Amino acid sequence: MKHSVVAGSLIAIAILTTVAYHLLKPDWVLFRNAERCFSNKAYAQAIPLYNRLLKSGFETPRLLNHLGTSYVATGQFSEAATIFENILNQHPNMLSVLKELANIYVAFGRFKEAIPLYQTFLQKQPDNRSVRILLARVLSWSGRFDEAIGEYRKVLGEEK
Amino acid sequence: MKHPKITSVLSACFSLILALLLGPFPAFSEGPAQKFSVTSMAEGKSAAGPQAVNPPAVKSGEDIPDWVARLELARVLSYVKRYDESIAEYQKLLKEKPDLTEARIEMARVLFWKGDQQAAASILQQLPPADITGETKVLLADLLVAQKDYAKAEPLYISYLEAHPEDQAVRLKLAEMLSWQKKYDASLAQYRKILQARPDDIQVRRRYAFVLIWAGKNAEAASELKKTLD
Repeated sequence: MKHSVVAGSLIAIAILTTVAYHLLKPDWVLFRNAERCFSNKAYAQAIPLYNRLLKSGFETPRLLNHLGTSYVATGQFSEAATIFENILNQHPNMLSVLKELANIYVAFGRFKEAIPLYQTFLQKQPDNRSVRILLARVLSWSGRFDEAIGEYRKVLGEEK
Repeated sequence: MKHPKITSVLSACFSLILALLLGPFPAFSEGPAQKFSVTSMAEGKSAAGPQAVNPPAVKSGEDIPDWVARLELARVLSYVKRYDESIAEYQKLLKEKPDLTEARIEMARVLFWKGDQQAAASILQQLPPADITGETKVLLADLLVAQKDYAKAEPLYISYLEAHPEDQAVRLKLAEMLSWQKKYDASLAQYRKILQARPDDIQVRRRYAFVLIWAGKNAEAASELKKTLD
């Protein structure tokens, strides 16, 4: 008899706890759902969840980063650019976002805007060869050949 | 304590409730909205643990090998007419990747721009015929023409034009080359094809008229020249 009471109490506690959590922390529940979609690469499903969170004032760098990434994954580059620009306004040295936004600018042919982002990235990570090659390419596509040559030579260890 | 196990279970449950009410599952402590570390995100690490996914990039740029960078450097050097430096980079690249036909052809092109037609032709002629396609055929033909080796150039132009019949610039090269060899009928046939595609091209019509004169077709030549004056 006593055991059944204890078991019943535990079940009741578990239910009440879950209900209380959902009532008191709805944003976190929604965030967890959005993150689950993101982790499962269900980017199109994650986007409206992240946007609902943003509307309710729930904003974290992680949320913005994942929303931006989801936009990129679903080909919504201009929305992605807006999100990443917002993140950079708050955190100007966030390397992953610098690179991601620069890549989006490049995809849109906005080379002038991509170049300073790659350069800022390289100030923090001067040994990142891939980003330096991307910078060299964008400089070349912008007609800034001499600067591009300098960057290529740095990658190849022919220039400091 | 008759039921120590039950007591400890209940105690654990209350702790759980308290923790859930105070903070978000699974961290048990909410903290400020920016609980996820900016630094860890910047370094590509994730607070979400092993289930986190790598964000897809528009253009990753990862794992770009040195030889690709050198090939691109050689190209950019050629764009700014630093031909000697460009050729030096191609040579370094070909030491590392001797089978890179693309680089060999590009180096031949740079040598051509530099004015070293013999070296350019030599490189291209060493390539297996199967690797000489499209515009490379035209480049080699141009180089052979510069060396007055018309016999080798002609089949290359013809082969290219079979695949690109709309390329009137290359057809004009063939027409001129045929006229220099006094193959007037063949040359005139090519000129007619060009004029069919570009009837208003006065310069081509004048050249056509000159070949007609060389072929002894003076009346026809006069008629064509008159058209260029109208």
